Amino acid sequence: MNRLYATLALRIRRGMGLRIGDRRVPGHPQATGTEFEAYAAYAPGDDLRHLDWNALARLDLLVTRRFAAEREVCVHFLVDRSASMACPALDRKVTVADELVLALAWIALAGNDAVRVTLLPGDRAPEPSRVWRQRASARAVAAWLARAPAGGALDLGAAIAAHARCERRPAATVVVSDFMVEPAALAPGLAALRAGRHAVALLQVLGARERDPGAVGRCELRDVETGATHPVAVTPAVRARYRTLVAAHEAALRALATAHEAVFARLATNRPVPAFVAGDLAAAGFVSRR
Amino acid sequence: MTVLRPAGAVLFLAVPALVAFWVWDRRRRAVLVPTLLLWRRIAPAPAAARRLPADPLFVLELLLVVALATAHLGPAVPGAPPASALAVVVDVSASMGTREAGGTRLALVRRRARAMVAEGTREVMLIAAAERPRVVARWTTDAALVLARLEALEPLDVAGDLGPALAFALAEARARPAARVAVLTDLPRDAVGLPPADVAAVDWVQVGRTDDNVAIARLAVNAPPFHDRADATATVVVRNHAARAREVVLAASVSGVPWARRTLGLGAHATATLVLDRPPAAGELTVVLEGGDALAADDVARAWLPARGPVRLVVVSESDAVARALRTAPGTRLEAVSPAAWTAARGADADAVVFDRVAPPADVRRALWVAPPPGAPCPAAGDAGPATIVDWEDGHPALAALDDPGGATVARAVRLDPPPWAAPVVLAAAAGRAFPLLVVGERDGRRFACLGAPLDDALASSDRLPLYLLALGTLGWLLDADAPRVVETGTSVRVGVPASPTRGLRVAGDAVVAERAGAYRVGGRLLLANFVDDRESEVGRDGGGEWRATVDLAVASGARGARDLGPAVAAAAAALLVAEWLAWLLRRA
Repeated sequence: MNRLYATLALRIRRGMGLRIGDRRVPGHPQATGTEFEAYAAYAPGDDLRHLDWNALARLDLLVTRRFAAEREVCVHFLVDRSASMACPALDRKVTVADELVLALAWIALAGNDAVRVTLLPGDRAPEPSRVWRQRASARAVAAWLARAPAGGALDLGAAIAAHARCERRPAATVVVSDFMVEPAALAPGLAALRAGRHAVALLQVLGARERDPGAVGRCELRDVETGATHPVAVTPAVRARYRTLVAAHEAALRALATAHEAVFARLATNRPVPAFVAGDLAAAGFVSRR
Repeated sequence: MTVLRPAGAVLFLAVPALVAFWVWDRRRRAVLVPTLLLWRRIAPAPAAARRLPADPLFVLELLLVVALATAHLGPAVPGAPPASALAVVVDVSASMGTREAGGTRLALVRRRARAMVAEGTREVMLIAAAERPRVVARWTTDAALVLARLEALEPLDVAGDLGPALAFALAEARARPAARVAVLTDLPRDAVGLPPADVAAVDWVQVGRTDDNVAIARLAVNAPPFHDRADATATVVVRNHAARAREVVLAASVSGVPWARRTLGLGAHATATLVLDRPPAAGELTVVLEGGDALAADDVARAWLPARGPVRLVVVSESDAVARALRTAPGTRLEAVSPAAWTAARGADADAVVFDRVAPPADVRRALWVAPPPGAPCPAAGDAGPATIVDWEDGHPALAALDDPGGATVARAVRLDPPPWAAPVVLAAAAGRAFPLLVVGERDGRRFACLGAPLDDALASSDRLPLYLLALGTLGWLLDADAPRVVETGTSVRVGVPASPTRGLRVAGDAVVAERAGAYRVGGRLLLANFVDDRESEVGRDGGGEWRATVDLAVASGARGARDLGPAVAAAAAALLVAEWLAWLLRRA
């Protein structure tokens, strides 16, 4: 599996960090670097080693060479750990979400980016990890993901907004959740992230039973997070109606992401994560070949 | 519409239980969902529909429970009474052969049974009851067949037991609609020891009055081994069962030779004992009561007088100690043979052969092994030292001379290892462990015995007397190998060889039961069967009568005059069960 991920890199156009890294950031020429980007008028104090002697001889101009900035990107994973991620249990949403986060974290670390995982449990405060920068830290990422079970009710929009307030420096933010919230509730947070020059990806993890509840007959649906109930008779017509609502909700999320220049992709829990990473995320422009 | 089993209504309690379960199950079935965000956009199910589950599974289960309860309740519709059935139990015990004014008692009940069968077209079962029930005719509407079987019935020389026959007849009758049971016997209803409920459920016909019967109550022969025939005696016990004095003549003969003829005057219910001595011959002893009475079956008894003469014994031993000891027995002609000189021809003319601590190849008909070594039929498994007799088989002829062998000691005993076909007769114990001391067996017409104690010349001394008597008794049992077996009718006896069917004998493999008194030859051996039963010989009755059943069997089983719909409803319940299962499978799919 690592062999596949070793050929991939996160394609992040925004969120340039402060620390030197491997990721070249065009448009931010600087005095040192490895890749020439532009000329700048000489100013007293500039390093004479970067003075362009050919231009001085030919044009009698004092110009210095500027280089493309090389920075690291800190990739923040906001992982939904509310009770809804553990429901329906047979869908294994938590497991699949963790596998997805681990895969993307591994790709990021392999690209010499920094990774921080913030768990968003519903019944506790967010649990941010420290920042990992070594590829070998993938084990630590896995351990961090395993430390918090799903539970409680989460206001995902508020959590994203809070994250945007805390992380004022440009970075990349990957939100992994089932996104079973009103899309409008996410808009403030996404806008704040965009304002903070974050590269944002919204990755939805949904189970098969969440997309189609099956023939459960007459029953009382109970919200796993709030405990609210809703009696229904799940007839074939109701099932079709529900599938339509799910599709509409996904379309709304996709539109919201587009509006905020974010990447949106949906991962069905019955689909292999590597295929999703190398396929769907590549198609969405979030992952590319090295 | 009636119900046959009102108590079955209790099963209807399952209906509210099922409804309660469904309501509880509905309440319990809350399906957890991650969020109601999308579901809230779907109209909720009406509340009324939630309270009353219209689930097809629920409906099917409700119908199933109702059908089962209804089937158990036994709904019935009035219908034409089914054809009646009659189970006739006829007593064919020995007392039914008693002669009355109008013939034997069996003839009287046969006449009544004939009338019962002829009352109308009905199914009839005929059961003969003696010491065990016997189905003479299974349920049939063929009256001619039943009457023919009825005419063929004869009293047997056995005691009667109506209990099993009546239980069988009641069970058969309860399984049929509108069935009756009739018992025809010479016994009063309260003297058969049956449950009152059973007696009340049957028609009872009792016949018989006379008590005129004088019977031979016992015949025993005492012919000790090693004694002359003239020393044998016969003891006869004669009992008058009548309420008036009787005078009878008792005649005894042996092999057709008259032995004694005595006239006996017996008071009412009196008993006389006669001892006959000095028999004129050996062979079959027949004792007959002359003078005539109502029951002839108990007027004849048979026994066997063995022909006692010099007993030819061959003792095979390294020493002459055993020969010296056995020579002291009266009437023996003994030959001592060393093991080296032993040949089968030496034992051909012997009545019995005694092998003392040797086991040469032997083809003899009667043999006693003393302290047998390996190679004998029951070899010694080890030396046990001094031993004490702790158990024995009461009544075995080998112990006839020992009143109470318990506690008798043996100076040196060996443990015997009996073969499967042999049985231990005497058990001894040494060092807290019991083992066979005397083992006897009969196989292929040969008799064998093994004694686990060495005999010596001091055998006849007073302190060794039990062992001496045990050895002589065992030899006596061996010498009686060819003697006829004397049994009582109605008792099972093994004859050792498969017996062929014989009139008067009931045969099962090598076991036979004499149903009639008399002399039989079974497997080349004589079998003398006597009918001796005081209770059966007590034939006096009060004249009898006829009593109708006071409890209707058909009503008790809920079958008379109504057609039970229970089975049909039960079948419908089974179909509902299948439908419910299919519906469940469909839902699951």
